[in-house]
Amino acid sequence: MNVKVKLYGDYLKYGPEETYIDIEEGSTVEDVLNRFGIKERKYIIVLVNLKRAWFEDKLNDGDVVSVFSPVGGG
Amino acid sequence: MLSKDELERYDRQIRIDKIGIEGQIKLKNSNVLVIGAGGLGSPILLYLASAGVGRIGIVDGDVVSVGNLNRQILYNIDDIGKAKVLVAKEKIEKLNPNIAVEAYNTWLTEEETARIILRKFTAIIDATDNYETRYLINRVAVHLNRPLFIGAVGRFVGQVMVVIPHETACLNCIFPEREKQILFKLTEENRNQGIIGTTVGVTGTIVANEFLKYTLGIGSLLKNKLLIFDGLTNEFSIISLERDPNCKICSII
Repeated sequence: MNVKVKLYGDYLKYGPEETYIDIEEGSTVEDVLNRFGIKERKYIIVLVNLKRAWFEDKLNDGDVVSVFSPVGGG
Repeated sequence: MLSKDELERYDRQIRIDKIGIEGQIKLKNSNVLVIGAGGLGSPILLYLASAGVGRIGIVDGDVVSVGNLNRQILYNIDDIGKAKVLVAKEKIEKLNPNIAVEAYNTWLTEEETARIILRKFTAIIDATDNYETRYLINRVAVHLNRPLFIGAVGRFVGQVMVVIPHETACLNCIFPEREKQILFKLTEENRNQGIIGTTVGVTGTIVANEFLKYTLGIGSLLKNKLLIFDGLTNEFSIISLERDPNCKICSII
């Protein structure tokens, strides 16, 4: 199945802004992060189809995965 | 009604067809509470005061130190050791004597204190520098049904979002609150990453602009959207967001 992965800010060093990838049925958010070699996960925020998602969440064909991290200073 | 001085002072923005005299009166009749008078708070307060927002509240418990001056453009060396809110109030009143400014020289840590202060204003700006206060503000703003304009920064990165309670995603929908120790650690790490003045300048200005558009009822707002500004690459990304129907803050209150 195919999912679209969008990287923002700090995560752009792992790939282009937008990529379509082919993954196995039943793949999770974590599998996608592994595919991109993303190891910085302490404060990572992942949205699947615009909603907050977790590492173990299973993906479906056509899902859009957005990856970024929050900043909090003022 | 606008006075002769006000008509002259705001002439250049009244000329914008989407503002006009009618819009300027809307700004005059508006009010907002700016929480945090630091890096983000500086441009926010300066631009809202100069634009003629009629009543501005400022909350901060800090005093000015020399380490603030790389980015907190409201202050200078004469202000070191003085309460930020008092200096900020004096400066923006001098910038625009037509507006009313209320200073709250306190840290926002207690829910009850937050409730009492936030209730006095119809819109809230979060320009704070720590996650605990950010979640407190989000909770109280959602509960009091006040629109919340959030700015956040780190290094060369700025983030802005607008929360209209019960209509758009709130802070907690996107960044669910975690235990106090984790929030404290996040804040510490964010501080250690550092910050440059230009990042707070750009980000704070966008926050102020969102509030002005909201008040004037013009343009489009960052509702259900998170804007990420990267000063290193000049990229402005907008991530679409959706409310979490199970959000522990905005789906319950």
